[in-house]
Amino acid sequence: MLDVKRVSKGFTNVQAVDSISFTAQKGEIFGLIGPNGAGKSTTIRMIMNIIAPDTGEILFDGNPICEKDKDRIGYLPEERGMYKKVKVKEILTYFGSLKSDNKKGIQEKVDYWLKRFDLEDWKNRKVQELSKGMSQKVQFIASVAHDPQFIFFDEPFSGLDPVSSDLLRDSILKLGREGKTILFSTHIMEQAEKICNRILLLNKGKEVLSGSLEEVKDKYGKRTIVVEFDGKGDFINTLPMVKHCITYPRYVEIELKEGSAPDHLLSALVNKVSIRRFEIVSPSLHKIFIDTIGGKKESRDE
Amino acid sequence: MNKIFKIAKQELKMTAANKAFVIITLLGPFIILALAVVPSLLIDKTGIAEGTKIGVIGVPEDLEEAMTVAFQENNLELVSGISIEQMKTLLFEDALQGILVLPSDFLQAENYLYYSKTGTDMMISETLSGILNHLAVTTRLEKAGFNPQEVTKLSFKAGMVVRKLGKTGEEEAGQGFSDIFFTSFSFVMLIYMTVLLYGQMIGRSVVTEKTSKTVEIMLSSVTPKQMMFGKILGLGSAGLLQYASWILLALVLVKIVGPVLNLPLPKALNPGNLLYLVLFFICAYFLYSSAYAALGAASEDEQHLGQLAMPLIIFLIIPLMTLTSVIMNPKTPFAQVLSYFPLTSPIIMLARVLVEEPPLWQILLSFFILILSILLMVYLAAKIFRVGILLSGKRFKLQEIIKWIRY
Repeated sequence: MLDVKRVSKGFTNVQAVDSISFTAQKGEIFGLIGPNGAGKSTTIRMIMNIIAPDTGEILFDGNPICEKDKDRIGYLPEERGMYKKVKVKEILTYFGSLKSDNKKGIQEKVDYWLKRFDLEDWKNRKVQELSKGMSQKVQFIASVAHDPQFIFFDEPFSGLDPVSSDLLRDSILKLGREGKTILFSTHIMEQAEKICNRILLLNKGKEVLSGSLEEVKDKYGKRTIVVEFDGKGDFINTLPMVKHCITYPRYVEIELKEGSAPDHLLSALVNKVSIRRFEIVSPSLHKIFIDTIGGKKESRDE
Repeated sequence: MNKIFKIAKQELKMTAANKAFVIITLLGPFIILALAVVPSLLIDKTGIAEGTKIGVIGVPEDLEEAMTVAFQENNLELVSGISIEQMKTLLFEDALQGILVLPSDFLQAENYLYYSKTGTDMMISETLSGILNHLAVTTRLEKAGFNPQEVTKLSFKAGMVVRKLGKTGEEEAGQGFSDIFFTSFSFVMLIYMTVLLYGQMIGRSVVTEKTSKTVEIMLSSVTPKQMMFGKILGLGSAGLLQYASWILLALVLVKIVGPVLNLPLPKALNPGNLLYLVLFFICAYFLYSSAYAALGAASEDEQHLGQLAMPLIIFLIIPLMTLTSVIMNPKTPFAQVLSYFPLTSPIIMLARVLVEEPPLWQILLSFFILILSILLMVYLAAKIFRVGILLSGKRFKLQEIIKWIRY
């Protein structure tokens, strides 16, 4: 269990993290979500004991974090890098050996993951020969080769093709089922929605909202409607009962104003376009993200 | 501690696998050999090739025979009887080595004139000057009524034999000036080159850690301090490995190959001096590499590191530039100060040890100051490293970086 309690960190001109608290349980995949510069990396660096928080405390299984805890953590940083001239297997063994003395265990894990990601033929090639996607997978292996209890993935899916993406997501979910505590940071809401049990949404170092996915969605109500139709939908934005409308390529996501009923919308639409789907849904995380942060961003930019 | 050794091991592995390292290790001995032996071979053997033709204008008739003989004794052949224009043609056809122009009143001349294609063949012009002066002086004395044989007998000159006197009072045979000079010079060059090379390797390695973003992974496993010491120890052992192989080769050369093939190897290339070489290398390495590690951590990229490291390079170059004067006169206050000042002492004190055998307490004092400086430097470097390794995105100035020590 990872417990972060009212942690703050300021740099010369910025309050990077402002009194953040959350708890990630064993076997749970916890999403740390927010736009670039929200304070995700700083939070992770504090948990990794790379920098110290100004105030607050971080507990691992109830004890304050210390240097030794690093060995129980696996970390996939957002900006990936490895020594270019070293062979794939050698570098994986090296990074593993820094955190664990169990050479045999590391060997087995490395072989297992190389096989799972179909990289066996590459284990004696140099890192510089790998494609971007491959080196990302190798980096992922580096973060789990020592069989850590806690794993932090910082934007693990950026730059991966859909097949690799699925493979990686399955691997992360599997690690979660094995009882690892997983902290997962991203600004891509769809990914978070598919993986996380619980989330913490950060903006400008402050907590915007937190809780399990269901709680968060409930909080944002059931006034969201997805409509798929043929015809021109430009007028929807101007309808009196529509508060906000996001247009996707094949459908629109509509938020109704307070006091408006979905059937009002349906009757307003039915004569103008031919409807193929009309569904009352929970808001997508993407929409919540835009509502809570996008709006504030705009007002701040003004 | 465990993690430091793991990092050191990996760094050693990566360095030893590097082609440049292998090439330098293999070529190093030849460079030393070239620096230590070849110049002394050149000096000893660079005489004047037999039958070197010198055109002479204005040979005094009464002295022509004596002059021809004197020329021959020095491997020179006197060519006369043709015009200076013809001689110039021959000079550029390389049929003549030089042209000597003697004034009409040879005995009263203040200068002789010598032309050559290079204007720098000192050896021949010095030899000619010796021949002509000797002839002129003896002839003048003869004209004044002295007996030629008597004059030759009375006007001989003694040569000068230079020997180094060891501490124990015994002469160290074969330790001539050129011998000591070239050994000192090659040892010093070796320390200078390796310290610079390894310092920059450390600096670059740390910068690459930052630019390649590997640093995040490293710091998620180890502390900045462990990372810095791991790198310094790893590359340092690569350096020691290199020195060990060179010294082994030097000893084989001196103890086995030299005596068997009867090579004129410098006597200064002995185990005692080689030990000092290694000890001073270790000190210089730790001092400079910790500074380089700190600067590497503070740099944005390799160019930035190059700018920040300029002051360090200057301190490495000062002893090189003053080396000749230190070797010729190790007792000057300037040489003394440089042999205690930590950034220059590894090179200058080593040169003094090779040349003059300073009192033991002076050598120990030099080491003592070095070790204190290393401890201080490592302490400060670790502080700068810790801050610098996490910062990126700005090209900090040296003054700003030094302030990080207080963080």
